[in-house]
Amino acid sequence: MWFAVYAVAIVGPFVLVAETAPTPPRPFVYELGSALGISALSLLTLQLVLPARLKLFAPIGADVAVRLHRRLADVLISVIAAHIAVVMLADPQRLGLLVFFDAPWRAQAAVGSVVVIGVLSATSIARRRLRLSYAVWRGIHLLLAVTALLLAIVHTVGVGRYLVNGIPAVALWGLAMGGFGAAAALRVSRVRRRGVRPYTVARVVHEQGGATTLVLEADGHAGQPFAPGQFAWLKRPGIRSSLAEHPFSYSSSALQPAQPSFTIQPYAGFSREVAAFQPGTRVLVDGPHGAFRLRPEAAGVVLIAGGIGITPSMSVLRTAVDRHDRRRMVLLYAARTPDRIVFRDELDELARRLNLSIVYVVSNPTPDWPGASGRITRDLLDRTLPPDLRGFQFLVCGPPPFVDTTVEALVGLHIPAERIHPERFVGV
Amino acid sequence: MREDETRWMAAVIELTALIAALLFAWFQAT
Repeated sequence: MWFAVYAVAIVGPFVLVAETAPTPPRPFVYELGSALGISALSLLTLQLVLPARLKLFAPIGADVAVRLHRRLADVLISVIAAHIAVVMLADPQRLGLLVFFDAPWRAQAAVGSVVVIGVLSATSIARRRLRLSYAVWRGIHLLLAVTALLLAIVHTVGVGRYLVNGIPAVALWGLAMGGFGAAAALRVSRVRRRGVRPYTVARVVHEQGGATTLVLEADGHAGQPFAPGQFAWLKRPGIRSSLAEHPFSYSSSALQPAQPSFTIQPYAGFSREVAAFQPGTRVLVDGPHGAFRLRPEAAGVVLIAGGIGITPSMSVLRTAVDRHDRRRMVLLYAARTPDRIVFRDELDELARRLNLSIVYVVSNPTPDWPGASGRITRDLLDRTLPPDLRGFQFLVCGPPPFVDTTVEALVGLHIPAERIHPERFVGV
Repeated sequence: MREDETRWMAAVIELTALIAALLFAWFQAT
């Protein structure tokens, strides 16, 4: 279904123009320049629609939608580059249009849009280096995205050849409404949407390993049913904080949706603030999101966690206890030092109550550390995993490099890719 | 869903956009 929307958004404008608006023919290279411009406009609009957490994209998961959004950024930039290159190739005199102050407004809008998209990409790639907090970055990102689309539409209208007159103008209006509508849906109407519910902080637990758990209590509703492994966006109520929302995995049992908990490693900004939350603080939860679910038919599950990536595994294990799940489970948990292992006592207790074996792997062990040291490698996986893994599901969660190397190692052990579910955590 | 799947999704979308642009340009120019 979502793919049909993509196809219509990309192909639709072309069909409308070709079918209804005959224009005097121009050489192929001129037409190709225009056509790439139309493609770039459609792709830019879809970039705004994709991360808007619309119901449409729920089947692929909000996290996958965001990853696709990141990949399509490269596609968009290459199509824009091709558009500019072909337009200049068709008529090299147009290079003069790049001199911003002498150029007509249609060209100024184009240059402006490209510059805005450049800044947008740079602030996304170098957010950490620029020391932009997640909340500030999101605000900038959305503002720049809306500006880029607006300028691209101004450019299209200024050029005035396609998508401006007659029936094809419907396509331009459609793209504009789609893009701006999605941006508005993400920001303005969020609080009123069904997916967002109020909660109150019932308890703040300082965990082993320096993490903080917020235990929430549903406020006037029965909680949002979630599956272990999913995540939600958390934020404080109020207009000023409406941009400051942050994704965190549920760490509690899915059988108690009215008392969800989120375990957070304080990195910066919001995650540090969380450590200072008091019971009674009101929190809005937008969730659940994420495509990972432990399939009921799975013969067993292998959980591989790095650092604070333990949280979705915690939810899987706590849910398994509540369900009296006797399936075979294995947890491999990588931490920097023994005292950075979050939930260690509870995990050891869970190992007694479930059919669960745990391997802690510490990269900087203390002299008295009795367990495995180093990193989770193919060799370590080969030695520690049960020999018969038929029908097992694999959840890998942690920082992106950890997830990448672990998934590679699992694929190297001939685990079918469709049974491996990676979740990449980035500190927010 | 695996991240690899976003790779082919992005590839399909890119190809659709490029093929549509090429066909359109050819159609308009002839």
